[in-house]
Amino acid sequence: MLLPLAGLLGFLCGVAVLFRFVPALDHLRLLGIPLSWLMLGALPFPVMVGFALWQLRRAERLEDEA
Amino acid sequence: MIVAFAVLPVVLITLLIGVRGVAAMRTTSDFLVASRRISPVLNSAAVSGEYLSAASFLGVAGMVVKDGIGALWYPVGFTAGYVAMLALVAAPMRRSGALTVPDFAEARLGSSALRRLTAIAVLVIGVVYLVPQFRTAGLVLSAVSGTPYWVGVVIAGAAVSVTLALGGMRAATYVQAFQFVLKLVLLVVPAIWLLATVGAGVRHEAVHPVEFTHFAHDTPVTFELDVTLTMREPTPIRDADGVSQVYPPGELPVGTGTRLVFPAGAPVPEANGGRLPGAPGWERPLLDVDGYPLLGTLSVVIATVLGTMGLPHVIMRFHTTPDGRSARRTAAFTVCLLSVFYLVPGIYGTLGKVLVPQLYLTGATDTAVVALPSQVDTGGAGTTFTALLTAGAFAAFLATSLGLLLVISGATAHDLMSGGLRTLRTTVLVTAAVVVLLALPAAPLDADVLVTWAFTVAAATFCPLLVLGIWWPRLTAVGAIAGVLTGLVTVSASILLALFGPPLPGWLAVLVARPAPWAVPLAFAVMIAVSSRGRPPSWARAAMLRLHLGERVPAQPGS
Repeated sequence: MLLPLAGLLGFLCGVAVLFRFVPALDHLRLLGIPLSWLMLGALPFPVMVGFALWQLRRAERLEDEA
Repeated sequence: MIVAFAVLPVVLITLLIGVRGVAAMRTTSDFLVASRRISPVLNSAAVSGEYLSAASFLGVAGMVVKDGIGALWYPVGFTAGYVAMLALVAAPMRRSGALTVPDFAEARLGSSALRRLTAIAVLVIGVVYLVPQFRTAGLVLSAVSGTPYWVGVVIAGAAVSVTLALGGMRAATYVQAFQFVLKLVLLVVPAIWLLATVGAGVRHEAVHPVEFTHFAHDTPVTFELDVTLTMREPTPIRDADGVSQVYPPGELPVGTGTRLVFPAGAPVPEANGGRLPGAPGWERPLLDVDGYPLLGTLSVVIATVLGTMGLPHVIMRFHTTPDGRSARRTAAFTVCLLSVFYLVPGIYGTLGKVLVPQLYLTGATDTAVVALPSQVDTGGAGTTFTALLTAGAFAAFLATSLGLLLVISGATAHDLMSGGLRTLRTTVLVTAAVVVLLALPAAPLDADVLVTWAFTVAAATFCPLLVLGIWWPRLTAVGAIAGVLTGLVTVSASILLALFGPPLPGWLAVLVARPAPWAVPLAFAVMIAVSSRGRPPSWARAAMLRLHLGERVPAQPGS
């Protein structure tokens, strides 16, 4: 039922832990921008849209089966 | 002049839509939740329009300038909150049929004491959230036009309360859906123009941050607040009369309204003991509070994700959809809309760090967004984009304040005083006046402190109340009261201690300034422990069924 929400929270904590222990991400660059900036400023948003739609489909399917 | 061009159209259009809504409005239910006929797409635009406050439009970029890239965790948490809302509360909350959170609490647990307590929590969250909106409106208007801080605050208060008293939520729905589009366009278009105009050198420096240690060019700075500057080395400063003087290392108190010019090459003093923008650690994507980056970051994530679910003005929005299913879709669409918007503030933040780092000296980094265009172009284009961004900022302020004022007035008139439409309208005006009075001395407070406070109170009161009320049949009224009271008191006491108490060492300071990691579990634990000792209301099972049974979907052939 709450798998997508748990997945999202796991993803966010994972990213924070990654930033904390892999500072090399600040020095790798994609299109000139530090990779860690992109992983915080851009990446989470499409990921969150994905988790939201997944959660929505799951809830509606459960409801239709009930 | 900029203010007239930027702010007047936003206020006039808001009023116009507000007045059009009046014709359709007859009862309290009409006023509060637009008679529940709003479609998920329109409603999610309105939710986003309402939610994207001055803290999002201006504050995130300002925090990036001041504190670093880690500030981008705020918009991530603000968005993730809607996934939690979608999963846990949206549909059942709508199906409860209750008009407001206090209504829900009373219907589920049958306690009028709990209803009054939740109404008080609505008041606390609403006021703490409204004050930084009014503060930012005042700062922005004074930054772009030179009017005193209080003028902006008063203009803001008048515009919001008149709109709301005339149109109510029906007006707010259309106003806010319109304002989401307006804010998105007004943030994205100037960002593209800025990126194209600043030149390769600035773009390169934006992604290769260096510490702001020396002024790159003659920099005039106007102090809107009292600030204490700390010089590390002899610093030449020109005062308003053009007299140059070299100040020795040490402290220099600067009063409100002072205008100083720092010549090119002068070392940058520290303001109020803060770190310089771009100092080592600025580029780290974590919220480093007193040397505890992981704890600092996760406490903000917890507060924003769980707090969004408990924001009373956002919850109320879900009652304007026809049924539980569309309430859930509203939450999902909202995640999509917010995800587009929140890609942009980081651009302003990183450019602001390069072009207007001196805002750090005055404590007015929240005005970085509107200060940028004039740094890039001193002619007509710069002025035009400043006006557009000011209009967007004012729209952001107006939309959030409409929803918050409505919910505060609803709590006061509907839950604490049980009055009708006339009481509600009067309450709107009185509430706006009170918030204006509170915002006047709030100029020196950081917007992020106030916003975190509101989110944390919501996370430690309404989040446990709603989640347990919806998913746990054994919740009792006494348990709910104990939990809400615990959350409300501990969070407020903790943040007041951080603001006005003695400085604390290490991780203790982090947990006192950002109490979400312990206060939210504590509120849940108290609610569960106290409830376990009592007997749940006799109608609990029936109430749970009503919350969780889907609306009748038309039977599909073959299913």
